[in-house]
Amino acid sequence: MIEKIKNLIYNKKLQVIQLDKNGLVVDTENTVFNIKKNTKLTDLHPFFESIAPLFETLIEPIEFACVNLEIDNKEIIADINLIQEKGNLFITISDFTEHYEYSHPLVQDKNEAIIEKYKLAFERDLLFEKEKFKNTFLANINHEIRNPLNNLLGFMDILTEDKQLSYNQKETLNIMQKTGSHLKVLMDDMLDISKIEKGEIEVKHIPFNVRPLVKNLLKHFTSKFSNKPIETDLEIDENVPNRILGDPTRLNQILFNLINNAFLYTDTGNIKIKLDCNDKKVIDGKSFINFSISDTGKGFSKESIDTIFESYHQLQLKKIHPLGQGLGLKIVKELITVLHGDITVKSLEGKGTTFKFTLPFEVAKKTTGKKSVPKGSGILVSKRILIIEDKEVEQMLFMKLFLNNDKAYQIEIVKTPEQSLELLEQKKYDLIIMKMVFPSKNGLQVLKDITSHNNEKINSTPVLMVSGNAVLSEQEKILSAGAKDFLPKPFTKKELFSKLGEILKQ
Amino acid sequence: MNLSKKIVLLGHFGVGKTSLIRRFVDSAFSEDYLVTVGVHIKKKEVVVNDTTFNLIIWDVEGNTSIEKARSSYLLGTHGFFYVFDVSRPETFENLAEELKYLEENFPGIPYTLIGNKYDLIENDTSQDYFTQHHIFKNCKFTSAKTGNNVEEVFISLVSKLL
Repeated sequence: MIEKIKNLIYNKKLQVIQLDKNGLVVDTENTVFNIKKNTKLTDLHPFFESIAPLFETLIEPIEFACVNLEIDNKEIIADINLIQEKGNLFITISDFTEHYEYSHPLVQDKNEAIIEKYKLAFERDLLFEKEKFKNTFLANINHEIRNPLNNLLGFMDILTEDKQLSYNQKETLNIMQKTGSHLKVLMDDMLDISKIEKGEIEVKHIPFNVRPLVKNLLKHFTSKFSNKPIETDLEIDENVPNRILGDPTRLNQILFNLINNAFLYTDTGNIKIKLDCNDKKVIDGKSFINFSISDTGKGFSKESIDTIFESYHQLQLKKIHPLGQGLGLKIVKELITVLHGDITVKSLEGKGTTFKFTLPFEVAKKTTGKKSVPKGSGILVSKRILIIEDKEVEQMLFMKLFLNNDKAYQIEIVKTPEQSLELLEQKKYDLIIMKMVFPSKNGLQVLKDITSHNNEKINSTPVLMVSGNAVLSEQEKILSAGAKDFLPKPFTKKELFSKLGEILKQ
Repeated sequence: MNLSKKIVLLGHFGVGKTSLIRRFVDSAFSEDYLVTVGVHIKKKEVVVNDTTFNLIIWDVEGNTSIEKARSSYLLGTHGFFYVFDVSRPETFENLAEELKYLEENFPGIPYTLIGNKYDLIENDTSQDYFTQHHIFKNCKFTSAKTGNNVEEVFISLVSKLL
């Protein structure tokens, strides 16, 4: 009975054909295809033609699964077996059309999904590559511009000390200095973006007080925009902790940009800054401070509000003085993300804008103890500094910067790294100032020549590396190669002397 | 003389194996991607150097590696095409291993490497990629869509079977 049922189901789907060695049909059923005896199977379909060479050598059965066949206008998908039994050759055709056709859409979907997945991944990689290229390009161009900018700002700095300048000349110089400093801010902004996007941004974790930070910023802008009839209101809730642990520089940068924006876009009305802290919400020991900066200024249109945090969008906006405002909002957004916070903006065109952001901070523990005051003899001992610089303009800048300096630093300038080694053999210097690129050698190699010199007098001399490449990885490379410190270009006279003070004090 | 030769097309799914055969055998092309399940077998007669070849072309379902293909499909093959899609890197990133597998498991059997869908990167800088890498040195580039080079690659493989 079981056999009967089985035959009922499978017989009509299975055809067994017996062949001779030449592929001639000796015997066959006609369950799947109508095949006549004494015909050549190889003439029925090219499949059989191509497996015919296997007939002669067949020992073990061979299975061809899922073969699409079309014979006499009948299309089927079959599993075909080639079997040798006691010298006789058999071919079985099992019709699994239904089964394979059922699975066809599944395979189709699967394959299409995989192709799409790879396509998306490829497009993503392409975007990353483009972004990487852009960031490297920005960092490089930044570096290129920093060097000449350093000379410009440096010489202007020196010129301000000239007592013989007329009022007009001083005014002109003042504008030139402001323009130069603005350019420096733009360069810093651009570099910041590329640093953030390359994941190279350094986040500090130091104690500071947020109150004076905000107050000072507001004071700065109130005085800067004193010509505008704007009222300001600062409200810091008492639940905002006094001393917190975090990155004051970056917080300052965020607030600077947002408050600056508020003042720029507001002609009249008021600007309100509010800080509070949700003292009930503490996650991983961190409290959350909410900042809100609102103004009654021009506001953003509905269309532009979605893109105000996007990369370089301000460069494209013609209405609001492209470039003039720096790349502030993009940096704000990126910095807040880096600091694990979030920012929202609400704006009504013609009515004003409110930026709200929240940042997590640890509350700093109170420290007690007296501040130590450095002791000194009060006698100024002049320090000798060796400068390695091959370019004349830069040499002149150093000479002017150190001319009549009140720290009594004495400088000597050599043109090549080779000359510096000769001089270092002969004399003792307290510091070497050098840069990263020389025509004859790479700065890092020069640095290594000095720090690994077998003469202790030479290898113990601290080196201050001055470079236009302010990328963090570059700084790390320089410091790990043995430089005492790093000064990014462009630098002011004040920055240079403060750095020298730090190094030479030690 | 009439010689019957089995040609098998290998490669990832969606690279255009079926389309190449359709272009070669039926002079037709469709943009739609219809997955091949199992194997379809087509036949075409070609004359190369006065010899008539009866090509039996096995259009095997695509696989990410030859090892995954049903081994019986490859039995008795006289020549292989290994087809990849020039616009999809995942279809040619393991070429070295794939071709090594062919050479080790089917020694002496000629094969031709085909970069299909070349029309997608015509006038494109990504062409440079294929000229710079050694593995593509003997690669033939085709477009089943335009028909460019399709006939030629089949004839060139057949001439290796002589």
